Amino acid sequence: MTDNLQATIRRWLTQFSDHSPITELPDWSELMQSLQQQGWQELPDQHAELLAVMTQESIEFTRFAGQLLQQHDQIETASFFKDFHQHINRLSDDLIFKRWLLPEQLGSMIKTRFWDSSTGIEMPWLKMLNGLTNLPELDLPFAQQSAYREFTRLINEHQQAFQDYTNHYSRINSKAINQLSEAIEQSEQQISSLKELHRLWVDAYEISYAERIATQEYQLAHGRISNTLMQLKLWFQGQRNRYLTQLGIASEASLNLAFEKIHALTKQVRQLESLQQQTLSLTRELEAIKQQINPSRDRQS
Amino acid sequence: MSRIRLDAQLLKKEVQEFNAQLLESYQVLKRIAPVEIGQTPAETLLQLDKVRLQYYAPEHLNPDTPALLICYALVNRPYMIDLTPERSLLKKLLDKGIAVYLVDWGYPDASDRFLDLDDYINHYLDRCVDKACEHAQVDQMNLMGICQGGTFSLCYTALHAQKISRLITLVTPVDFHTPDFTLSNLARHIDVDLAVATYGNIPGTLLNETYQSLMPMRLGMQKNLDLPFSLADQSNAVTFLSMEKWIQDSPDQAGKAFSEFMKDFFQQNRLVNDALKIGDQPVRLAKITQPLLNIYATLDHLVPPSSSKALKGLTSSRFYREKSIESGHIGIFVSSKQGNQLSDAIGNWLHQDT
Repeated sequence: MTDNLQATIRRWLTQFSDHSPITELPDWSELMQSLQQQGWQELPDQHAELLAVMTQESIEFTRFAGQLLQQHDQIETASFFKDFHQHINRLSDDLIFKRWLLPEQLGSMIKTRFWDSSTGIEMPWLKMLNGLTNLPELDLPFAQQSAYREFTRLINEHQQAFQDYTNHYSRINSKAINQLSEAIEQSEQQISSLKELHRLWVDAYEISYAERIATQEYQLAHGRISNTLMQLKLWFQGQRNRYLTQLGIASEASLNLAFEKIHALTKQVRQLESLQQQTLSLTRELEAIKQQINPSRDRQS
Repeated sequence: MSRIRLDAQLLKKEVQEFNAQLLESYQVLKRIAPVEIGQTPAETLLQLDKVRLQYYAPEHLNPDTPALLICYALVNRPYMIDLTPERSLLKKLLDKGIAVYLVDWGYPDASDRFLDLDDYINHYLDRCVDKACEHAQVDQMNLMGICQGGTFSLCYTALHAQKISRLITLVTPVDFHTPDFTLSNLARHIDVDLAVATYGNIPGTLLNETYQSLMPMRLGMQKNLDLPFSLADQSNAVTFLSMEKWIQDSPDQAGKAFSEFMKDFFQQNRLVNDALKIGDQPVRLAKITQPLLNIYATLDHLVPPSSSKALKGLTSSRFYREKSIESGHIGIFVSSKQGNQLSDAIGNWLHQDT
């Protein structure tokens, strides 16, 4: 089946190339996804994961090219930069969101209880904060109120850290676009390939990125977003552990306590063994010295 | 006149070629079985908890060549030195008749959260050195540390000088505060105690994300765009898949040891400041008198050469040498461009009269 599908795609690619209007591109994503879904069943896990990456890459590459093609037969530089900037901002946003995802359970909680999809992905946490502040206080026990207040504080801190962090990326992207523009203008040869452009972009981006992450401000922002996200995760784990304790189930915290004690005991045992070895060794040395001092008495006895 | 000229017809052709290449890559992937790494046969001489000491016997043992104990980093897996038979530092060393011992730290789990640097260096590594000496029937062992394993080897040699005859540090961070040490700069403001409280053991995936973030476009977009070329034929594809497997195979880090390493080395730079203690014993680099070969990669983006080269003058080594290889942190082990540079440097060093 997969081979048939591939053959179809190949035939279709050839025919498309020969007969279709210049500014049209195939809906590659649907075909590649079909191939991926069928191929997945046959390939080892690592290969299948790679195929998924390749599929996504193909879709992105084709989509961006298609976007450019829809404009004119001859693409203008100004509109190219505008589209490319949008393309890169989207990739960059994806990267940041993936990297700094809220803990899975928190994310679900926000989505199911507080997230109005009309707000999009930009400010779900602020929406959630409103939800929390609108909770009827009398309906909640004191401990829960405190927990929610703490949670609200942590979310707020994370939101601020996130904003600060994304600002750095906006600056990285803008500077990289400028550098790309300069690189293109300074290029001795005319650039006519999308891949070549991507490569120039990668160079420009890495220069801009390296400059930014070398700054104290970025390092602080990176530390801050890492720490606020961990605080949120820790808060959630604390809530979970309290809940498990109430149910009489051993939590991660109690397991850790046991592991810590075992580790301390293991060290003690090792030290004792080492001392025992030293004592044995000293005893042997002592015996040897005794024999050297008075070998005849030993023989007599 | 603008230097950019994207012709619609050419663009369309380019996209079609790219996707056709992807289909070819798919065919190549279909023909390849799951990749195998670290294929050189080994004998396990010692197993301590999850740590193993592996022995690799050369086909023709050269009695004039001393044995070598390799201490790899806790992060990632030691089979980087034996990725594929064609790209194996280990195999090249064995071909020179060198008997190789390798410390494999294993995969820490939740029960290892409280393992500290004292456990790793003064217990596990020490026992491995003893066992290797016993097996090789020598009083002292040659020790080669790779990356973080090099830092461990320096600490170990400073603490147990009588057990080590020669020392090799390979792409090893020494000064963690050189301006171009990006990884260290990013770690500077991380609340390490919070990290350990949150995660327990630090997930390997988190570390991988951090490494990737050092060059996000090159290691992300560029690598993905190059996929059809990386998978263009079976041989390239196997190398690529082996490398990817190694990258993804990132053990979690025991929480306590991670915390100590981050604070003492990355954040406070205690090794070069002469303020480091491991298991309550002061670690003084000046106590190292052994001949020392310090190898670094000039294009290393993880451990910049400036950090490795800072070792010069910090030890009391009676014979200190540096060797630079034009390569990256990983390329130094696997790149075919390097040929036998690395294995030759190591082999010659072991033979050299000092």
